Amino acid sequence: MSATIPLVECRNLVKSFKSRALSGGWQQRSFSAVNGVSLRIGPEETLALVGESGCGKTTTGMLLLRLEIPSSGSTSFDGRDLEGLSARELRRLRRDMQMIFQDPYGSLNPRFTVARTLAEPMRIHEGLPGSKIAARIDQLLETVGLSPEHAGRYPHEFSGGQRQRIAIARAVSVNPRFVVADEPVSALDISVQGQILKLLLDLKKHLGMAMLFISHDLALVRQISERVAVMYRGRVVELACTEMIFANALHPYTRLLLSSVLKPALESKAKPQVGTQTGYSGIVTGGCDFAGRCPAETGNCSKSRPELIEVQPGHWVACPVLTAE
Amino acid sequence: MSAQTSHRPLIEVRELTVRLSSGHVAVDRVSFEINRGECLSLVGESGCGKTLTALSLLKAVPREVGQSSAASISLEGRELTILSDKKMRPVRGEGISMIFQDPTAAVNPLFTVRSQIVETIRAHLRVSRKEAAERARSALVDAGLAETRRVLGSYPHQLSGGQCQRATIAMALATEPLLLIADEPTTALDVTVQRQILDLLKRLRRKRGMALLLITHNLSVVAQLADRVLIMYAGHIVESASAEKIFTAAAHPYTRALLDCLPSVEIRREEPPTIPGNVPQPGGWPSGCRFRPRCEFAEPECEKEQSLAPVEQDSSHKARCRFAGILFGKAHTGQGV
Repeated sequence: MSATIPLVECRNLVKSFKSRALSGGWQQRSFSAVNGVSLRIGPEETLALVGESGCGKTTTGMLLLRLEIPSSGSTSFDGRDLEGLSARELRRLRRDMQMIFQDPYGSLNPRFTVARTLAEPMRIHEGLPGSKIAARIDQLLETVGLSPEHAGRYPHEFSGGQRQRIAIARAVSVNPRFVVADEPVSALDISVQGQILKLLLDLKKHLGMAMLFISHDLALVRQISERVAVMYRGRVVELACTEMIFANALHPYTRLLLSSVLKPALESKAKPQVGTQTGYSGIVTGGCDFAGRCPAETGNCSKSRPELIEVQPGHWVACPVLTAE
Repeated sequence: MSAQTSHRPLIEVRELTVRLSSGHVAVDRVSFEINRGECLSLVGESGCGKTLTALSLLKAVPREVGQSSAASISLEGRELTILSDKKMRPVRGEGISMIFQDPTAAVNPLFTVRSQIVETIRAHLRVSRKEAAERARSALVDAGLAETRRVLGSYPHQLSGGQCQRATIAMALATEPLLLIADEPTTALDVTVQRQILDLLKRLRRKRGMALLLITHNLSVVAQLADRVLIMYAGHIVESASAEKIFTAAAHPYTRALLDCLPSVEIRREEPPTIPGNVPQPGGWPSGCRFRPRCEFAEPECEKEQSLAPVEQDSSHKARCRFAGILFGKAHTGQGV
């Protein structure tokens, strides 16, 4: 992985949720949404976290910000372990760690004006007086491509893309050093997705922040990230720099994701299809989780859990077939 | 193009207009037809009027949203505009069915999949409960669901998004409609599942000879399925052509902009492509060409009203742009202006 000191780091993160299920009486069941994830994000780096719904992408993002408490494993920010911090210290640190959510309709308070939404983080974290805040809000709105006259309006008066701009303005209002962007454009029209991606790229360059970009769309990831981590059922199965993922993906799951991206051109007829059963039994086997869907599966795949192994410098993959020798 | 299409289209829509309850026009004199077994795709950004157009075919625009009117909507030669609500009921389901973007919102969370499909079937066909249940099962098999017993007995929250979309497709197909309207059927789904659902629609269309009206903002989805494409912008149809023409010789600047926006895994661009600005809301449409404020080719002349005119000799390819023939008449790659 990167040689520089990471800004954000997590080791063997596990997050289990307990649920009660009715199967011959109420039974306590435990489900690990994140199961042994280790990541490092360098300063000013963008790491993309890719996978299907339910693979634990969002939970991982929440864990890194300590919006969720891990069941085990550790997370650190700027060399400080988040575990031992008091609520007060953590709160001070939150200024440096912000989040942008997928749904700009749900993430903004409908009863707050834009100005109030944007003022809140600045008031909490910086204790600025009202007059200074107002000036900063005008400036922020311009940074994200809106105009100061929008400050007095409410979220319902904006389109989806504009709302996402407001959510981004809120996240960057306190000059964070790390932002988790959870599917920030997937609720938007394709024509608007580009605008928001561009804004994120500009802001990142301008503010020098690191970013975890969570997405299920590899075509977007290619535009924005430096490295990509592919997640499947709570584990990272492949990790490499973006160019390597797109030029030479090794894990069969990454290849499946890549082949699933629709091409913006007329399809040639009779294209062979890869097996893509997604049924999730929830059964935890001892071996590779992807074995049931994997075209390269051998008898050995279900024997032991594959570890993430560095096969080339900076290219990590967890697949028993690829790393057998 | 689909084979054996008879000369009379399956459905023919003339001068369809939807007026919102605010008084503004949202769909402006839209005319098109769909042939038997054909897949027509209606493409545009949010707020273009795509969904309202589709709902109008079913006469299902909610009263509080607005009202649709048309010079004529005829399904197999039968005029739908004059039908009463009661007479319209059998048309919905047996004539035209619809599936929606968010499958979990399109089903009732309080009933099992079985009871919802059986209810749909029995509302349209005079069959026993038992036979309806059997039809429901075979509809699920058709929709590519393997464990039909479990799915039939499940409540919507027990299914994944992809399974739920398959169940709504089964529900829509159980009454064997002539036309299926699919409104952004894969937008809410994962990329891997999206592929599966598109393949399913492709297969079902071939198997049943059913026509499909595919509504989407994503031209990559169109490339998978459509025979013909209508590009919609601010309540107007701005381009109408075969899918092949759209991808190889798009004539309207808006179509070209939509094509350029598609992200690709094959190349990394210096800058993510976008269309500047937003779709104007109904009531805020500019005079003349409505794409004018966002168009890189706009000239003062564009303030005049444009009509949907044939591009060069090809009368099946029409565009609403005065530059259509001049600027884009020649074939191009479809990537990059």
